[in-house]
Amino acid sequence: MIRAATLCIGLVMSASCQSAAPAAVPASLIDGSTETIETLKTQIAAALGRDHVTLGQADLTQSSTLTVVPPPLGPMEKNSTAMPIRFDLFVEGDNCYAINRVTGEKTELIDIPCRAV
Amino acid sequence: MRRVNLRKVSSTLALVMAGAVLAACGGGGGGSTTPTATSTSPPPPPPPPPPSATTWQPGVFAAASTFKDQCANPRTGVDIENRPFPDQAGSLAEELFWLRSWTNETYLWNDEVIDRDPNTFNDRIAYFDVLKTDVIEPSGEERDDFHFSQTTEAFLESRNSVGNPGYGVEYGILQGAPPRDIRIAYTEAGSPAESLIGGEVALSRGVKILEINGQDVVNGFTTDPEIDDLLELLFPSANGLTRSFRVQDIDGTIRTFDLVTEDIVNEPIQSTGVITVGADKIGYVAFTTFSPFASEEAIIDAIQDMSDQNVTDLVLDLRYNGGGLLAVAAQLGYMIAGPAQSNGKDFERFIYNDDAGNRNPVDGSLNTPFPFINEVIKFDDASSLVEGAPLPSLDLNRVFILSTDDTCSASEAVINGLRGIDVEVILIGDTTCGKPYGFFPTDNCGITYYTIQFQGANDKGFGDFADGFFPSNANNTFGVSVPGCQVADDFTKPLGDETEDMLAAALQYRIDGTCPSISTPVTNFVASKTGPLSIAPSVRNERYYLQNVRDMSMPK
Repeated sequence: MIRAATLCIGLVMSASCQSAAPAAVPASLIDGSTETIETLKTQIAAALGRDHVTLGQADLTQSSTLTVVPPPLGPMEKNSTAMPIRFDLFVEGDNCYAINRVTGEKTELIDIPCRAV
Repeated sequence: MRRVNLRKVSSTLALVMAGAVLAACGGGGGGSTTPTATSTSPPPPPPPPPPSATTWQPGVFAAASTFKDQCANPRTGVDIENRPFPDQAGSLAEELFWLRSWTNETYLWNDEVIDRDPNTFNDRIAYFDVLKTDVIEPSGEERDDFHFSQTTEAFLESRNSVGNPGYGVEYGILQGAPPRDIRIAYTEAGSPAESLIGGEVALSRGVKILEINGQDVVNGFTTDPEIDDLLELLFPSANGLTRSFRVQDIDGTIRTFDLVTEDIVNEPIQSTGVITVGADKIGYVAFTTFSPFASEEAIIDAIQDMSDQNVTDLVLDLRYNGGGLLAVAAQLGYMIAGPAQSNGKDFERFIYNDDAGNRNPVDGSLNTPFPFINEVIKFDDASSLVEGAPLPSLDLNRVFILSTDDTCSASEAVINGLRGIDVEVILIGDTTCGKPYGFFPTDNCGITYYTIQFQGANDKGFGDFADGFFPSNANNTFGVSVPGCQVADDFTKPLGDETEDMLAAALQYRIDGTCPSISTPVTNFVASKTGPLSIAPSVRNERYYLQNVRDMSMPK
């Protein structure tokens, strides 16, 4: 439900900014190569204001959910607020986007082709 | 890049301000009495330079970002997580001023820190060590006894360690100084400790360690270097090491055998069971850690099993649980209480320093409480859990929690969170460790600093349990009294055994609200690769220190 609501927010925001915007639909990556994943990680890290992120193990050529996993807890972290961060991938025309499921922030993925699922 | 720009902005601002000051004073050396150019008098001394960013002005703090990653000895290359080091050429002064500003921005008790001139320090650790409150609580304990640092290299190695060499045991240190009494608290399934030797399990709960490699664990190891040796024997640092043990069983039998160290997988659930009393079914779950991502699936599976068996009461054994992921604690709170009692309620609210407003001062995000989480988070991406799937719930209005002073942090958050929504918590055992605080380990220039940045509070806004929760019949002066019974840990029985003293007390209290006669509380420091160890309190070498503070309870 949270996911659907966030996606709707992102899509509404997107639609409000572009007239006659093409339909946006959930998507997955076309290319799951190491190079593409590294490019994706760089752009997601930038979206989160981080130097580096670690992605979950999902096959992003099959899944439209991208997970940024927190680092494992250090041995002294016993009251940790760590949580995974999830993005929904979708395609709109020729462009691929990732929407942060918590903040609703939409990030265009550059040079990362995706397709509707 | 941005940090460089900030430095430039800072420098530019300093120049502009200096210029403004000069302009306000009528320029740089002019004035009605200024000698003419033909004067033979020596030129006046130049004006003092404007205050630089690393000039101490009491009570004036530049943004910590101004000094972040400006290092006296910048690292180059990438760390073991393949991240480029962010370091730039800087100075010790900038590192010290970063500590000062970062403490002022993020430390929970920032208004209790004495503002000392960083330039009077020549060591960053020594300076960090005084960047804390000196307040002593009425109990005589320091308000902040969780303030420490370690090299970032060590921090990253520890959280990325693929191997976890050991025998597969959790120790119970009944007496840390000679004559030592070191027992086995529990063992990990399939580990060397559980290997059969002469038809008998090598190590099991209650077994006392007498010797390792022929050296007397009870009376030996008295000097600091020898204690280092003992730590290495108890907590081996490599796989494939053969160690000879001489142990004493609970019945007094002496045995000797060899164990070979290997990688150990810590299972979050040690024991589960359902105890039938008349028509009632009482669930028992021994949950030892919230730390690995796998702890989410483990506790969900355990509660699902309790739900499937229609338990009407739950004994949650947290006696060795030092905490970990608060989100999993919030899930556990939900699974105990169920939706009717927890919907719309906060499991844990976060209290930051008074200057933070409604933001987390560490990352600037909105200060958002943790609710009672009613769905799968799926920390472990490889698990079989389905993200967002509803969690099972027992819908209980009371829970029995077994505790010792190793029951800490996220475990205490479960106690506090449930009390915040009026689920009755009955505490059986000993006083919990008392750590309502948390931090975000932060690297700067190769040192990872831990400074308390938040306090957790429940839905009623209560979070003042720095002296722990204690069973109501205990003779404690400080701490938070919780209905229940003080009972010593019983190493003579397996976890989950209905006759084990703590579980038996819970079952008795459940029937008639009475406690067994108070047994002598045992100083129950549980020690393992993830727990504290009280061998010799005077020892403060790094390894000892790290092993002791791993669950944050030892520095008290």
